[in-house]
Amino acid sequence: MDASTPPSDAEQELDDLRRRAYGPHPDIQADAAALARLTELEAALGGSPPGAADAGVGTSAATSQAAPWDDSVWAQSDPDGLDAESPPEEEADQGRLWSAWHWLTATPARRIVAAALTAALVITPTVAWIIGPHPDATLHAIEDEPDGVVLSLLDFLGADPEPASIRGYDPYRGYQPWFSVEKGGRQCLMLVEPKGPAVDGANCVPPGVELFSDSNAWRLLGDNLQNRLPHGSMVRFQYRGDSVDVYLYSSSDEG
Amino acid sequence: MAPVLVTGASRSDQALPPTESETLHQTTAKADSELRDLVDEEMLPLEVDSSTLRAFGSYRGLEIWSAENSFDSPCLVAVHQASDVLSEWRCAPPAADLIMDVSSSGDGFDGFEGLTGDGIIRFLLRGDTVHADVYLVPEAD
Repeated sequence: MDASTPPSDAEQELDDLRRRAYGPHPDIQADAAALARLTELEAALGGSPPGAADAGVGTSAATSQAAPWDDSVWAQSDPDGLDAESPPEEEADQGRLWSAWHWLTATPARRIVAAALTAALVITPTVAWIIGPHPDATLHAIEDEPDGVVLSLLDFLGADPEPASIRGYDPYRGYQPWFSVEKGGRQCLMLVEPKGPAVDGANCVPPGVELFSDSNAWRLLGDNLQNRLPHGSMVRFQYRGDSVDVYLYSSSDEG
Repeated sequence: MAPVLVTGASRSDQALPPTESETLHQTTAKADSELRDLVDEEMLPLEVDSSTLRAFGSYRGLEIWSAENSFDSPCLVAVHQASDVLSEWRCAPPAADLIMDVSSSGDGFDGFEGLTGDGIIRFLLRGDTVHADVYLVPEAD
């Protein structure tokens, strides 16, 4: 832009938006429409924002001046020349990724968007883990071989397990989960009450399907080993391989 | 599409994709006295209120119903249409995913209608719909 020429309306608008984006009191991130307009004007008018270099947000000429999906950006995105030996399809994929990244970071406004996207990608799984359900207990596999009670209960259920597959876990509130693999391929989780002895829950699923077994506290079945939970509550035992996670669901909890 | 999270657990070990999936919607069908009696009798410990039975149609030879029990927990019921018996039933407190696995073998079953192979149908109550995933044991090599 020629300094002696009065700025056009678009240039003036761009300056205003840049002040909101890069000035001492940036507020543009809360205004999606303004942010989009800034991106649009920067793409149309180009140039570096005032003070960008001082603020450490400047970009190389190659990236800041390149048009979206410009092949020249791809060429400069491989300073080590590693892509020269990549298969053509892989090279194209990498090129597209690099190009997308360069386009996202080509202007300061886009970098704000890129930062927001990156933050979302990092934060979302973390938040999901934080707010997701966590087990009330984790039961670990035990070394013990199945005793006669376990074997007789499996027989009572009509199970036909591979003997070597039968594995027990730590007891929980009087229940002991036992895992086994049927000769037909199904994986089973059985909840044994050794004091009964009794089976309080059993489930078998094809391999690769989430395996769990539920036990409910029903008052009409009398006093059971979950008597510290309100009637109607449920305990879910979730098979994890080397461990079993336990989730308590009280009938008094809201959904 | 298979549910990403079906057991209330944040980590999923799910590796086998369902053979097929279906979403069942509520229908206007009403439970007859025979079904209500069956529920009252077979599901007595679960304290299901048979007057709350709602129909979700049939799938692979199973009639699917939902209901509530005296603990305000939702319940799922599967009726084996060929034999008019209850194949499976489950209730879970509202905070838990209500999942009902119905096996293709046992209890008079000889496979699911229209499908060959051994496996399960996993029914998951999701608000006003019931999601069904079929999982079959892979054929041995």
